[in-house]
Amino acid sequence: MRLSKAFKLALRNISRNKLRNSFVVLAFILAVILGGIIIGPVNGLKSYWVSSINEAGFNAIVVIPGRAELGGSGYSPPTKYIKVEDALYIKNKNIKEIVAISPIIIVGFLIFGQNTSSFMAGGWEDLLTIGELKLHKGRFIEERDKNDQEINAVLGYNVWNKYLGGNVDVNQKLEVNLILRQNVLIKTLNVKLKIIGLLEKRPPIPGTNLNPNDAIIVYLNQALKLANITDVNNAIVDNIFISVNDFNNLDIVSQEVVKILEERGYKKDIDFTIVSQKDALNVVDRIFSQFNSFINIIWAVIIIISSLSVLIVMVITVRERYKEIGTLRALGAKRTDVLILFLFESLILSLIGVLIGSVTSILVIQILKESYEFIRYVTMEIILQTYSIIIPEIILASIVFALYPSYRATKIEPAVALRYE
Amino acid sequence: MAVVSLIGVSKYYKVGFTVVKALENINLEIKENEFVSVLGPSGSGKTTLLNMIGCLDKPTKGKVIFKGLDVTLLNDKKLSEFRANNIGFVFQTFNLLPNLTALENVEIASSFSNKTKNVRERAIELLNLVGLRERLFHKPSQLSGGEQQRVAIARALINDPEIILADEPTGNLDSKTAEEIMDLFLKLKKMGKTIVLVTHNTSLATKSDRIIYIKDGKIINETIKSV
Repeated sequence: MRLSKAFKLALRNISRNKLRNSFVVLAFILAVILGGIIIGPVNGLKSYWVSSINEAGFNAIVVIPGRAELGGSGYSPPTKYIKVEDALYIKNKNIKEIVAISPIIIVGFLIFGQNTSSFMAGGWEDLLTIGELKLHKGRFIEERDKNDQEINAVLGYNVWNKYLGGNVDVNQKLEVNLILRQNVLIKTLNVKLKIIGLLEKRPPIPGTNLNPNDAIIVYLNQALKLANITDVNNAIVDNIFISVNDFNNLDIVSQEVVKILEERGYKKDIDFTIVSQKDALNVVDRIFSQFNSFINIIWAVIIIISSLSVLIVMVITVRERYKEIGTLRALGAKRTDVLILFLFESLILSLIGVLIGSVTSILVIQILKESYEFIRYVTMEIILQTYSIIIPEIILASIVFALYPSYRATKIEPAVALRYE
Repeated sequence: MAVVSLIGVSKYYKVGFTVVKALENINLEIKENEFVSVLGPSGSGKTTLLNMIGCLDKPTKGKVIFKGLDVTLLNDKKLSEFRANNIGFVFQTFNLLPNLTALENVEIASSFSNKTKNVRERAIELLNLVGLRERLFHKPSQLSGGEQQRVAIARALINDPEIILADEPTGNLDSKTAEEIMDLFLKLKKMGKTIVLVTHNTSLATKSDRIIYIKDGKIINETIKSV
């Protein structure tokens, strides 16, 4: 029997038991919807994290004082704090893979209104390269700023565009209340800044909690002056950012920096932690590989349940059509014709379910996007990517589960089947 | 010339610990263009005999020679192909596929044979022959018993088989319709077809060329119609 004829016959056969077959279709619809809702957002979230890490273009390593576990909650303070002079020391080593280096010190915070806080960071001019910051207007901080009487500040995108309502310009003076970060005492300082540059928007820097869009960046010496710290070299840094010329050199530079800091008496994973974009990607991978294995179990259960419906319905169908199978065999149908006919029937049911389920699933995801923020990362590309995995799995499972009843149908002897009442 | 010959055919079934002898040493020859009726009480082995001729079942002992070919030696696949191309079946309960139209029911039998050319034309022609020109696109549920059996006869003819085997084709029909179906078989006989008819109906059987009486799996008598 030609496959096209078998397919047509199967198509006609499934229209016979509409109610029963619609249960099978429903099971597949639900499977695709659940698959889409569960797997889609997980893939979406991962893809969002990975792309935001990559988008950040952060070919850099970050030296964090103390022991910090990326992606975990553990943090222990160092026994010996890393200082500006250490950053200077690394800089003066002139390691060829290092294209830029800067310590960063958060001297304080600024509150512009409800939920609109900013921070003031002191660093070197290399922050522009390290953070791949782009100037919307004006210039970035430079070494000459360190001795300037005025405090020259570069404003992050959110600061000038949102918190200050976009009504600021370069060379304009800005008076702000800086909440100094000094031990346990909270001290507010009225600071007059001179805006020298406005930054473009950019993604948050991975591996840190720093969002450059919320930053007011000043030269390190000026920032420390505000905090009444005159011994710049001995000042404790919050981080040291080191930009590396190539993603593949991140490990080499990390090892080199570890070596230097250990030579200077710091202990790795006690006094400092080194985090790179690679680590961030590894953490995402680690979290999602665990999550994925859990989701895969749930998905397997969903597939098994939906495929069981095929198995049950096909077993009933074969029993019900015993005589019909006998007739087809008497007319000359081979065992393989019978097998293909029943496999086609289950395939058609699963295809209908998958088709309706896919469309419904997209609609459900669109609706859920309104209520759940994390689902917003599920783009159409991710949905299609998810379907490209789950749909073949569903179809394959339906065929595998239909094999047993279909095989049983082929074993029916025509002479016996024709006597069946 | 013999279309089919049964040589020492026996068929035994094992039911629990006992062996049921459905057929016992049957020797039978059916000639080309012969119309043979098989008569016998229920459980006498009529249908088993028909299954042997129709290659639906294999004998426990003996041979079934179909135009010189020992079909008992064929495997299941070859046997299916053989049935599709050489044998036309007509059943008591019509056995039409309920979701197909009369035309499709006739056409479906050609899917398994090697006679795949002009199927539609031939199916229409055959339905016309059995008097169902106006019922081509009716489903079995929309046809009467007699009409359904006519469709089944057309289906049996679509592959132009060597022999038509009818297992109590009038068993589910009223006497008038049964007569009409019998007339149809006689018409086919006149067209050169070879027919084996299993029936309970003695009066219908008398219209055939030869009557074989079967009891307890054995041929007990044979009557040949004098011309």
